[in-house]
Amino acid sequence: MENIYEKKTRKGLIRAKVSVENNVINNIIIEGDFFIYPEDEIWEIEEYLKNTPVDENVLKNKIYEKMKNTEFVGSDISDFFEVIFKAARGVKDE
Amino acid sequence: MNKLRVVLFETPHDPYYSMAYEEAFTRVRSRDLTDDTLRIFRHRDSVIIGYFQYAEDEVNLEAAKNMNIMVTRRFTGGGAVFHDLGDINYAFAFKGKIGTVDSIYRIYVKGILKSLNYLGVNADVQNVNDIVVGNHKISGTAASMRWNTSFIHGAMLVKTDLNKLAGVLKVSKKKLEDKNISDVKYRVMNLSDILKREVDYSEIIHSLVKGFSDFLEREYYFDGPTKEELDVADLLYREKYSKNEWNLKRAPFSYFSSVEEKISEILER
Repeated sequence: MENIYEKKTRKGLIRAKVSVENNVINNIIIEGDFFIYPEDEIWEIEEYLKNTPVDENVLKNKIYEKMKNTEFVGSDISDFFEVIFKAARGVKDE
Repeated sequence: MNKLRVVLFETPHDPYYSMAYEEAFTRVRSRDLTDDTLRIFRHRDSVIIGYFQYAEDEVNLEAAKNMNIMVTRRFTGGGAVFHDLGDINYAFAFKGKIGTVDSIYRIYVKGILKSLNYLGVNADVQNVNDIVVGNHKISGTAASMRWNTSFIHGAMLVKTDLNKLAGVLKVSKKKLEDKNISDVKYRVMNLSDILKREVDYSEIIHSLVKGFSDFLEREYYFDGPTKEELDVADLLYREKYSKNEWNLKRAPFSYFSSVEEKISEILER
């Protein structure tokens, strides 16, 4: 089943669509009207997070490691972590 | 310092080709086959979505089809925008990287502000890259760096049909909620309504060219598209910008990697 979570950041909306099976990420899509640079890191992180267990620390470490050199314009690495983690956990819009 | 090259090449009837040319002229600039280039152009009714967007999530595709509105995608981030002939687009590509994308906004948006100034409009920048007059947004911009070239483009609402815009773009629930509870005070507005007079295309061209030229402190010259630009645009049009994978399905650059070698062949002839 695909879970969707989205967040409006200072500059742009981040939406994660995450499929989870047996508490492991099967597939993930990060979309929206945000700005990051280099842009193609989004597809790299989607690949990188496949087969990752839905564990707060594991996900946080992977996302922060992978995006440590990313330039965020109007959003923050914590926004991306929050959206991905909440989608993976199946959190509904608050 | 090279002069500022100004290109008015446009294919308003075909936004796919126009976006292919956008990528092409930036790539050609990166090979030093052209000077730093300002392009000014228009599109017929169309929606241009951002690089990270899926068309079906941002655009009412059924309405777009019924209204004969084409949907394509650009290689910069940000949100979906509606274009029609009342909207005038600008794109500026210059060789080299200047550190961060944020600094492209901080520096080069000033060229647009100066252009607006020549039209008699005192505009400001809000929220990184929105150009506003009072509480009204009249232009959004998006910047990137690729191929060792920096790039910024945007759309200026001059006399756009705002009802069509509202009819075809989807707005997420989160964004609507946000607008109710936060500080988003500005809404889109046409330049002609701000100036309370008709503003024609040549006037906008003149102000953009003069604004950028003065801001950059460079002389300008008008030029047509080069053969290399058109050859690369033809290729990109055929293999990327006419494809649903690019326009609708959020496929990344890497999905179209087969064009890279062909582009190199064109540019190294």
